[in-house]
Amino acid sequence: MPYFRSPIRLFIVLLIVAVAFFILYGLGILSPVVGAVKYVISPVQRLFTNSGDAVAGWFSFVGDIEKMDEDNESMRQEIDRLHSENAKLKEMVHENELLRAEVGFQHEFSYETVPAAVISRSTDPALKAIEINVGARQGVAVDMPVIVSEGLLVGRVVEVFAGTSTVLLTIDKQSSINAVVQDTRANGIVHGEHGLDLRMELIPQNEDIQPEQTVVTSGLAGIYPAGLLVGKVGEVRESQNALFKEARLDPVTDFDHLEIVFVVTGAN
Amino acid sequence: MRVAVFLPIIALLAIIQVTWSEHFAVNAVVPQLLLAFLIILTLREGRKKGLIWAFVGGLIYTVFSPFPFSGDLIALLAAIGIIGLLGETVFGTTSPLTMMGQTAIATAVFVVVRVLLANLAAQFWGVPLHLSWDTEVVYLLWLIIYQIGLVWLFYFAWEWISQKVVGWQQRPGLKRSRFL
Repeated sequence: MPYFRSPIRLFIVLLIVAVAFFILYGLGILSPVVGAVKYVISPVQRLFTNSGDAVAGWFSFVGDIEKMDEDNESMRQEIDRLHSENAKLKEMVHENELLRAEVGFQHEFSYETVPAAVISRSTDPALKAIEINVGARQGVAVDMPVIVSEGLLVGRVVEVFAGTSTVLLTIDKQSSINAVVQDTRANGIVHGEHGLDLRMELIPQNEDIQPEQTVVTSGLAGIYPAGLLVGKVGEVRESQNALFKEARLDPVTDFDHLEIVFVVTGAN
Repeated sequence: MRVAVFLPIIALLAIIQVTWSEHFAVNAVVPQLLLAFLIILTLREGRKKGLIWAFVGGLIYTVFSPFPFSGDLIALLAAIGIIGLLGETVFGTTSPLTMMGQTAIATAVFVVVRVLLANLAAQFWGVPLHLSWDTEVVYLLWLIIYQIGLVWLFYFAWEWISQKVVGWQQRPGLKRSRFL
């Protein structure tokens, strides 16, 4: 077409079309179409995600062979410690059940979840989000928490299509979680720190928190139910002049290799 | 012939970008494979072809990406549009130095447009996927370095494959590369 012989004209026309797509999507007009396309291609994306993780896993296995002895030793020690802790916890559960039965307290700490496969990831360092292959059809809605097995919190749903959803990970800077240090019950707000780890802020100065303590959701603000594991305290940052202290948290999940997650759709 | 080659490559790079590319991260910086390919395509095939393929590639990429729809498409178009314009008016002949400059400009434009669009979408449509300037600026320099390395590598590979194996030549009217 002669009109498009000029690259400037072509650029302007293509840009207008792209901007129109962006606006129509923002207004929700294109969302059903985008949702349908994403749903159709999600199996292909899943295939690529899984094969990529498998290949990367193999390479990291080869690279880490020398480190394996060291890791094995520390894992053995960790297993011993966990065995001992598990035994104590079993005793406590048993005792707790007896007490609950005595006072007639019927409370089940469990959630209804929808399993989902990760089909794509944001590759931007400042945006930590994933796409999963469940959406409105499976009962997923915006602001539902997303966990991995054992109740480890990984994020919340921020955008829902018919068959796919976008999840903002807890390590994203925009993520905000009301959390509590499990041992001391010190409250704070957890944010993502440059997409690498987590930062707990607004911890009262008088609270004594130590590295390795576990941080869980507090249940305040209504988005995340109480008791989901957020991370472990890595380093405590204190300043005499500040009103609050803050702590760097180490995430307990490998966010780069998420494959299967669970969307918490409700409480049992 | 070229469509049959470029389309699968672009589609493959778009899907690799959202699935595998984190495994190629250096210092937490993930390379923009599709952008690198489109830069080379623009340098090799000319500004118009570059724009058309940026549109096609951007459309495929934006469907796969968790970023607000069409955001990546606009960012790719802006990046390729600007380097296409600079390539034919300011930079002229493709050399390692001009290619470095064009890659740096394209990467910076791509990142800046994405941050603007993400924040615009967050502001007006409540999509909470906004990008922060401070984090992006910290990573931008590293990303530019990574992209330059990637573009040089791809360019050498492209020149060699297209001239020695497939027998393609650059489009008439484009100045010859000083590489080979």
